[in-house]
Amino acid sequence: MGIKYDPQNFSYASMTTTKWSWKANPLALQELQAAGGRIQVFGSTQQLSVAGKRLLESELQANVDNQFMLEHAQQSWQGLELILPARVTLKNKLHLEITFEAAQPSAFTMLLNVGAGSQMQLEREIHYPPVSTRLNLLTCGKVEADSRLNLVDRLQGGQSPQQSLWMANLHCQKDAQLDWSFYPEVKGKVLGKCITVLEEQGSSAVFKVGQFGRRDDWIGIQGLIDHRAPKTFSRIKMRGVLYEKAQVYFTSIGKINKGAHGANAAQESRLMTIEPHAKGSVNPLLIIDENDVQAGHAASVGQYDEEALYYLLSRGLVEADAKQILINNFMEPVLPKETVEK
Amino acid sequence: MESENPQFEKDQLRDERGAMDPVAPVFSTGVGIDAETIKQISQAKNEPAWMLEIRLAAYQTYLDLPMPKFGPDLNGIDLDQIKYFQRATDHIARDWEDVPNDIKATFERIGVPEAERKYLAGSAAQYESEAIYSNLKKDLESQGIIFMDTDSALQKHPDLVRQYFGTLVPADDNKFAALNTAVWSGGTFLYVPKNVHADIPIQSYFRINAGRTGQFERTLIIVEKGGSVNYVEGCTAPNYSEDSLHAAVVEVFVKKDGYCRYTTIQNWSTNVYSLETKRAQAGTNATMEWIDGNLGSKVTMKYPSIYLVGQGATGSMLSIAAAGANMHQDTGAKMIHMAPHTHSTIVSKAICHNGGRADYRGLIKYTKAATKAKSHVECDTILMDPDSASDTFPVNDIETSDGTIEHEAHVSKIAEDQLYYMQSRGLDEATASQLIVMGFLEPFTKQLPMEYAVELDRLIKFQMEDSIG
Repeated sequence: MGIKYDPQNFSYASMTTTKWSWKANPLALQELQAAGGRIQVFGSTQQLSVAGKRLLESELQANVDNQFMLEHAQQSWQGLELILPARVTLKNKLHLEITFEAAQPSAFTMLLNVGAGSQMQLEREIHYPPVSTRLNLLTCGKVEADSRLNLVDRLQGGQSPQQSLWMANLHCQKDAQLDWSFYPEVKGKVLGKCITVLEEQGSSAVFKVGQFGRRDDWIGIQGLIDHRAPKTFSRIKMRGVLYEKAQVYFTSIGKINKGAHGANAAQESRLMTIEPHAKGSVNPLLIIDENDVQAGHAASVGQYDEEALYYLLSRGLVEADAKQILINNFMEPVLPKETVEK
Repeated sequence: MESENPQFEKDQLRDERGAMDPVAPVFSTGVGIDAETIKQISQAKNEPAWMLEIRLAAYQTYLDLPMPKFGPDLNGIDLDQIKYFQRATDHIARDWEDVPNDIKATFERIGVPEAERKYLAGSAAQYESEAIYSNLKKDLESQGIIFMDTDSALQKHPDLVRQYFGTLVPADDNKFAALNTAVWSGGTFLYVPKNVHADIPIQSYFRINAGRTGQFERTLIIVEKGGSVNYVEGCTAPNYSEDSLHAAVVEVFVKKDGYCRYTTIQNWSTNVYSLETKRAQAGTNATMEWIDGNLGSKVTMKYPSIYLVGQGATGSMLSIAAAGANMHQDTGAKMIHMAPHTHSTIVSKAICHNGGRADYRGLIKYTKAATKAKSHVECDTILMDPDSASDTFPVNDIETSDGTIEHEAHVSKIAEDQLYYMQSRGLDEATASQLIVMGFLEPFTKQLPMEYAVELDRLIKFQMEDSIG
C-alpha cells in the first residue's frame, strides 16, 4: 500500500546457507540470564520454543497476502529468539550485534517476547559483510501487558551497496508501551515494512525513522500502526535528509479499526532534499473506521528554510556550518543525539 | 429526423419571454449500448462524421477497459440496463406527486422557490429564468463569449470543438471517460476570447436546455490568453434523478495569463452513481480553481485535476463532501506540476454522518521540469457518529529535488472542548454542533455566490439534524 519498489531488486530468489554470528554486551546479557531470560539460536539443529513457533505461525497466517513474508518462511529457518520473562526490569541496555560474515544472500529471523510487566531497552545492530549481498530480515514480537520495550534497530553496511528487505511485526498488549526507532544506515537499497499492532486497550507505540540518504541509495520504508482496541495511542515520525542521487520514499499509515474508540493517532513524515539529483516522497495515509478518535498526519518535502539560513549567516556562521545546524535541527526529533552526523 | 412528438413544434415554444431554443422531440435509444446505438445518437443529433468516428473509437475503448480497481464498490451499476441517450423531454414525464417526500421536504426547508422545485425534481422542463438568461446571453455575446450547450456548439462552432474535444481527457483515460466520449450528450460549451473578462459569474443554472441532459454531460471551457471567467454549475437543492449512472467529462483550457474558476455543487439523490472525470490545463501564469461541493449520490468518484503546464501557473482545489446514510464520497484532487515555479493548493473538507463514508484520494506530482514547485494540501474530516468512516490516501510523486510539499490531514469527531465552551455560553448541544460544523465548512461556503451559500447553509443544517443531539 503506497510503497514503491522495483520487483527486480527485491524478488525473493534462493537464499543460500547463511553464516552469521551474534554477541551482546556481557553486563546486560548476564542481567537478562540472571532474571531467567535468554537469547537462543534456532535453526536446522536447534528448535524454536513452543511459544516462538506459535507466534511465528500466527504471524504468517495473519499476513498471507505478504508475498515476501511467505517466501521468507519457505527458506530454511534460522535466527535468534529473545525472551524476557514477566515482571523483570533490566537496568542495562542490551546491545545486540548480529554480523553476517559471508557475502551471500541470507535470510534471518528474530523473535522477541517481552513478558508482562517487564521493561527493557534493546539496541540491535545488523552488520553487513564488506562486499555486496542481499539480506532479508524478519522480526516478530510481542510486548505483553503492562510491559515496556525501547527498541533501536540499526542496519550498518559494508563498503559496497547492499540490498535489504526488512520486515518487522510487533504486537502490543494491554497498556504496553513500545518506543521503536529504525535507522537503516546501510548503502544500497532498503525496502522496509514495519507494522505495530495495538491489539489491546491502552497500548501505545511510537515509531521513528531517521535516514541520511547518500550516493544512489534507494530507501522505501512503510510504517503502519494498527489500532484495534480502545484508548490506544500512536505516533509515527519519519525524517530523511537526501544527498547526491539518493531516493527516499516514506509511507506512514494510521489505521483505526471499528471499536477502537478514544484512539489517538498522528503521523509526521518529512524529507529535506539537499542536492539537486536527490529525490523522494512522503505518503501519509489514514484509514479510519471509528468516529471517536483523534487522527492526523503532516508531511512535507522541502529544502533549507531560507529565512533560518539567512539568519544564521547574518550571525557570522559560514554557510556549511549554518546548513549543518539546520540539518541537525531537522533530524533532532527522530535521532538520538550521538547519531546526528557531523 | 422526423418529429415523433408534434406537440413540441417550434411555433409553440414562444411566449412573452421571447423565443426559446427548440426542444427536440422525444427520442430514446432504449436500454443498453452497441455500435448501432451510437450511430443512432450521432444521427439524431446530425453530427459531423468525425464526431461519430470519435464516438465509435471510444466505444471500442470502453469495451476494452476494465472497471476501476480502486475505491468504492461499483457492482451495483448494471451497464446493460442504462438508457444511454434520451432527449430532454423524456425526463419530464414525472408527476410532482411522484417526487419522493424527503426531496420535497428538503426543498421546503432550504427555501427553494416553487417553480424551481418542480424543475429540480424533474417534473417541469424549466423554471422562470428564461428572461434573465436572455439578458445574460446578450451581455455575453456582446463580449464575444460563446456560452451554449455542447451539442449546439458542435453544430455552430465545429472547428473550435474539434480543436479541443478529448485532448485533455482522452477516451482511453478511464472506462467512464470512454463511455462518456461514446455517448455524450449536453453539457456546457464556454469560450472566453483573448483579454475578455466575464464580469459576472456564468451559471449553468440559467442555461435551461442543458439542465436535464445531465447523464453523460460533456463540458468544454476555453479561456484564451488573458481572459477570465467564473463558471458555476449545479445547485444545492437535491437533484432527483431516475438515472442511476452519471458519468460526466469536463475539460478546461486556461491559456497564458488566463483565469478560470469552476464552481460545482452536486446533490444527487441517493440512487445515483456519479463517476466524473474533470481535468483542467493551466498555461503560463494562468490560474485555475476548482470549487467543488458533493452533497449527495450513492457513490461519487471524482478527482478534479489540474495540469500546470506553463511557468508560474497556479492551481487550486477547494472541496467539501458531506456523506450521509448510504453514501460513499470518494473524492480528491490531482495537481500535476509540469513547469517551473508552479503552485498548487488543495483544501478538502468532509463531514460523515448517519453512517456515511467520505474518502480523500489525491495526487501531487512534480515532473522533472517542475523546478521550484510548491504545493500545500489540507484534508480535514469530521465523523459525526460511530457508523461513519473516512480514509485518506494522498500520493506525492516527486521527480525534482527543489520543490516543496506540505500535507496535513486531520480526522476526528466534533471537538469536545469547543462543544463544552459553547454549551457553557448557553447554546444547546444541537445548535452548538451545528455551529461548529458550519464553521468547519466556512472556507468553502464563503467562496460561493451568496444564494448558493445560503442554500448550502440551510441544507447542511437540515441534513445534520438527525446526527446531532
